[in-house]
Amino acid sequence: MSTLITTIAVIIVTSLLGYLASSEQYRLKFASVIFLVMLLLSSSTLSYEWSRMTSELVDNEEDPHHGLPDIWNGKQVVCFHFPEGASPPEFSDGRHHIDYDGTDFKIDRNWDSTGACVGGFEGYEVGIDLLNAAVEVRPNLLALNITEFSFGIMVDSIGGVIPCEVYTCAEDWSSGAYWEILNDGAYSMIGISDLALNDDTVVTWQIRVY
Amino acid sequence: MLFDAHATALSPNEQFVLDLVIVTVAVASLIFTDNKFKSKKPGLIFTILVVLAISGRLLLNPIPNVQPVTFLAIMVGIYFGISYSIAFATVVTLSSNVMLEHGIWSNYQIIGWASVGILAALLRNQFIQNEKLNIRNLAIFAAFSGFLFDWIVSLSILHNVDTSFFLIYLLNGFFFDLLHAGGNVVFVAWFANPLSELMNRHTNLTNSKAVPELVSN
Repeated sequence: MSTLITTIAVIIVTSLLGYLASSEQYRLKFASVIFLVMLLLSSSTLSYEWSRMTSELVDNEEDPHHGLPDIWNGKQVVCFHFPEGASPPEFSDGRHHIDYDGTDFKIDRNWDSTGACVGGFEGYEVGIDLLNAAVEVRPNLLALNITEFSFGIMVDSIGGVIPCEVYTCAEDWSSGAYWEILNDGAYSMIGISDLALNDDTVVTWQIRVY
Repeated sequence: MLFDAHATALSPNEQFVLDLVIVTVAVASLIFTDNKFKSKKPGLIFTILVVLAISGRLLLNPIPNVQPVTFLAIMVGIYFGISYSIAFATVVTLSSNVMLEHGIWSNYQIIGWASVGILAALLRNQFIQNEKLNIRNLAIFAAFSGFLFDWIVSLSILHNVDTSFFLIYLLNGFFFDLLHAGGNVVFVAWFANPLSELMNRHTNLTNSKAVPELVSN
């Protein structure tokens, strides 16, 4: 939002300067050219920031990209779905959508769980790198606690939420709960350390009870 | 000995600048040499405007939503009237879309540019005052026309999406429409007066009480 306002302000101020600095005969000529050139140079920034703002208005249930904002089409996303009542307070009012630069631009209050999706990433090839990049955007709220094994890592808690503190886990592990990975909406048989990613992969973390 | 001239490749930017220079020279030649003609030639000027619009649209295609067709549609509306505006919009759209892309949106583009031309013809008394072009009014109308045209063309998405999505779609494209509006104002600021002189010489529509149709000689 602040980037959008700053960019618009710069365009208006430079155009005004061009208008005032030139003689009356050339005022519209120079001001209009400066305005257009500045607008063209900043058009990608303006369009992106504007899309982030207007994405709050779009609620397309038939969205093929897991109900995520259009600006993340073709981009990589990590979603963290917390159980009701166990979500960090900042995410308790719906599913937050946080861009790779940290901008929280949309809250989907109709989503059936609370949490956050961090997206807009490009170029990640392995799940663990994407996960770390997403956590870095909100390191305090999405802090990871992991245990390393020879076959990979086990996520014990995300954002301080330990599955067995929210759900009842039997001491003999006959029943319990754990953080599971969904790869593009489907249960992943491959751990996050080895998970190969596509350009538009959506990795979802949620607690599975067994 | 054969020289392989086709092997010399220009980058897209170099080609764009070169094309722009060529068209600028062509337009300047037209404006500076035209006053040597004694007789009025509205048909010739109309044809030249059509060619300028098509070539300008193709040439500026790499720049998002900046092209001279809307500006020229306004000028045709003012100086040639309603029926010429419709013809201009149809010929320019169909001809340039052969090279760009043709589809259902072509119909909406024709309606959009024709509407701009018709409105300009109906409002010509606001643009020509004391036989002079009122650049301020024309610039405001040109900016508005950028949005009007884009909104009319946007109607084509109603073939695919629900009407409830339409306003959001328009809102989403605001900055894209603003580029069109800004481009139109640049064309008005730089080209309206020289083009107006040229068109004045070849049409009879210099008095402000004229009906919005071209009067034959």
